[in-house]
Amino acid sequence: MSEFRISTEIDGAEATMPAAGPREEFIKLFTKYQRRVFLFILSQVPNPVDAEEIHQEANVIIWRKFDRFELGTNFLAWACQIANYEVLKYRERQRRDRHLFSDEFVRQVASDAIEQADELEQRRQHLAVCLSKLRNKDRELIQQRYSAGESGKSVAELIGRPINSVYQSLSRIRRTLLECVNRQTQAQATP
Amino acid sequence: MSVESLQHEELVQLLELLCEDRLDHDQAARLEEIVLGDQGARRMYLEYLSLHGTLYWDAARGIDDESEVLEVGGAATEPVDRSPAAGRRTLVAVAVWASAAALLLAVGLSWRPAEPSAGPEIAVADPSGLPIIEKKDSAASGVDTGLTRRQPATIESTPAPQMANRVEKGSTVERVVSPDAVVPESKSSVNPQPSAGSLAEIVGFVDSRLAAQWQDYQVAPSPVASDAEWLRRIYLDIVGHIPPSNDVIAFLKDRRPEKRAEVVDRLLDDPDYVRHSTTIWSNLLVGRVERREVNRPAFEKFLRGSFARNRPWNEVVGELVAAHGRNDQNGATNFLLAHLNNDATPATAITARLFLGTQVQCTQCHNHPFNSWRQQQFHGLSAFFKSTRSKPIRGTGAYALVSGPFEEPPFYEDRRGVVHMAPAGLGGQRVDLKGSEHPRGELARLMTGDSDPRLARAMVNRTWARLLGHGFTTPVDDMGPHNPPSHPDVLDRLSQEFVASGFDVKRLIRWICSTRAYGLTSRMTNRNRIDHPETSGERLFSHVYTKPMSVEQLYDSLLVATQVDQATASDWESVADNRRRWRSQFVYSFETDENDEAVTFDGTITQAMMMMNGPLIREALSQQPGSVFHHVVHAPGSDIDRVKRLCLAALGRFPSSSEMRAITEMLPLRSSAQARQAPVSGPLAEGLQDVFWAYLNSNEFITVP
Repeated sequence: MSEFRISTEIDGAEATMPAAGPREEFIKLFTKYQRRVFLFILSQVPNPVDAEEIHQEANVIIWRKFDRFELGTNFLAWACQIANYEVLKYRERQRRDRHLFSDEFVRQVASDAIEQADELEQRRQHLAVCLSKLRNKDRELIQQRYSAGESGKSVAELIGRPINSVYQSLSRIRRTLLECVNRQTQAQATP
Repeated sequence: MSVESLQHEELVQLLELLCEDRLDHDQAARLEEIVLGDQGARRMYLEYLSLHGTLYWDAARGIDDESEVLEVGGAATEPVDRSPAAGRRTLVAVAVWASAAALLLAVGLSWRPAEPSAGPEIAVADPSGLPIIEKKDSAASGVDTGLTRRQPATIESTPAPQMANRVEKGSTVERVVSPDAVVPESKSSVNPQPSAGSLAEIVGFVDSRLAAQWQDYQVAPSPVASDAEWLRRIYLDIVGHIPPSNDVIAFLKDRRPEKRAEVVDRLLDDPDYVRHSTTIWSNLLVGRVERREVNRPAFEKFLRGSFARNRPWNEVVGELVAAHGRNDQNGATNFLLAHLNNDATPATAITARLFLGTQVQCTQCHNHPFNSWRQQQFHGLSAFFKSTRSKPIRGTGAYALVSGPFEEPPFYEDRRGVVHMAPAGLGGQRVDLKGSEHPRGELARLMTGDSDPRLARAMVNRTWARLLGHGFTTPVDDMGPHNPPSHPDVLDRLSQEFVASGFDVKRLIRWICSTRAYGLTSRMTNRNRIDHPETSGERLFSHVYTKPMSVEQLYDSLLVATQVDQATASDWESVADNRRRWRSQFVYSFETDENDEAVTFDGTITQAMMMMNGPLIREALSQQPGSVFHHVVHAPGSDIDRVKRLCLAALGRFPSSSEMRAITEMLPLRSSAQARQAPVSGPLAEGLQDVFWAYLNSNEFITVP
């Protein structure tokens, strides 16, 4: 197996769990939706490091507002609302001319991301399958690219390949993965 | 090609640039245009980013865990398409040693404290730094929960940069914890007074005072320490050795905001906390040099018992000061036996210095030129020790600490030759010892009671210095009006709380480790350059000051990193023996009145030779079954995985890309598939030894970050 371990827990899995106290319930939801909140933020702030930072800020607020969350309502929507606010705060802190994208773009993307949340989650599960189908060399490269603190640039340095050729390989691999996920998703949609 | 597919291709290219952080502003504008103009493009954008983000999220933590490394097998990281120039070479032994030296350089260079990182982003702290979690319903959940078994209920985030301001404004931060939510965790008689503040209150106060000073000095604090740096620091500080690889991996993988607070709690409950505290205090109280009158095992047993039960500090000190009896039966007696020399002077001096943070040695003969201690006070204190003697017990090798009844107050001569009588006393308090059977018992009562704040202040200052790298005063045990503390309000508050907590040592450590300052990196930035006590004299705690490892920390860390003791399979006693023998090579006694001793463990040649060529290092690099090196060499996986694991074992982090580059250039590393064909041997085995050797001998290894 590769280092990419994509968990395949499905929504509603906790329904079969014995009833726990509200705090335990909250912790479970909190943990379960960590990744999806992160992805929601990343769609608006495409740099993973910045997105992670905003995510941490959002986590603090989410914890603090624990009391105000009503169990049984949509946790992801609630958490994304908080995350969205943190994204806005982040953008306010940042100088305007450093914004990559306009406010309008960010708004649009955020609302799309919420709409498509479940669909994207499905795709994420297919990704696990697709990764295992990659050629070993490709999987190794993508793994290096995303392992602690690396970027395409540092991977190129690390393995002594020209940087452009690494960018090309990464691009090819990501496209392959995207294609593969598309196929998997379609296959599932048409039984 | 249709217009649609042309646009699709352009979109993918832009998205690729975005993923590699190479999108410029014009391209971003173009991407926006395409995405906003077409619903399909919007979908595509989200799908791409979701793919990118998932890969990042799932892989960002490098090696996932021990078992997984072993499984990685075929998928491990073999460099793809190596250019011929960087291709394999055969290394002869000479070249290997040269390369080891080069590696040492590479490791050394890539790690520099005080590397300035430019830009405004330094003010952005990671809120996952150290949130303080307090249990809200401690009333409902029984007594022993307290601070040790906390569950996430409410998070008070200390470190976020805005937080400092928030605390100052006092508006946004809710203080959720009522004062009585704090329950003592000590199993002994620690009995906090109701006025004890909560963790959040105390830490919030300290944070806000430090932040206010940063503002006054116009410095910005360093960023929050990385998880790897912080974990190494907290392990060395609390349990006295580096974290084992497995703990590092588990910690890096853990994404919960409360993980740092949990580690602090876990380590304070670890048996190695007891061991480490015992080492620190036995070095301070009786020294490292063996003395005839000192029964070290008995003394350490006394300390171990005290720290294991987290006995109130005033109680422990009281017992040390008042102890009497045989040194093999009552371990506490060894403290004074080590300093008595049948003369009250050294015992007086060390008692004042260690427990009261006051240097009085010179006031024996004259009034102190700077501090308010007078000759009379010195003799007033020494009066308590006058009737104390050490007595060998025939035929046993043991000594007894005995004190006869108090006879009469001592006399002393001032510099003009006038003779004075010195009534026993401490601070402003006099005691009539006439007829007292046990004068030191009286002293213990005075020192540990409410009237003298110095015991608490000295302990707070010392603990703070031990954790943050500098105390509020320098030297840490020379406090008084002549040497005002850098942060009097913080020192006052922590001391009051320490008293109110019932002199709870663990709680004191937890407060300090929970401050924002302790969670910061030790690297300085351009914006806190002046915060450097050695050069500017300023101590602002806007970053953590690095500390050299103690001899014991180094020894224990080498064992954790290499597990050579596992290989030689020895019992606890002989491990302790080996450790003592090993450290004795660094320790010299000056044989002075005050039992001064020096440790040649400060980056000197002696130390360098011991480290580089000593038997411990030699064993660490031999392939004995059970050792880390043996394990790494024989584990499945690629050779890059081996390098990663050696770095993780030694430094608690993954190799940096420059180190990795240096290593791949020097060693004939193989993919996991190739590695399966043949075991590690020849130049490669030697090369991996060199890598490990270089990591263990790096400055980074011997520094508490």
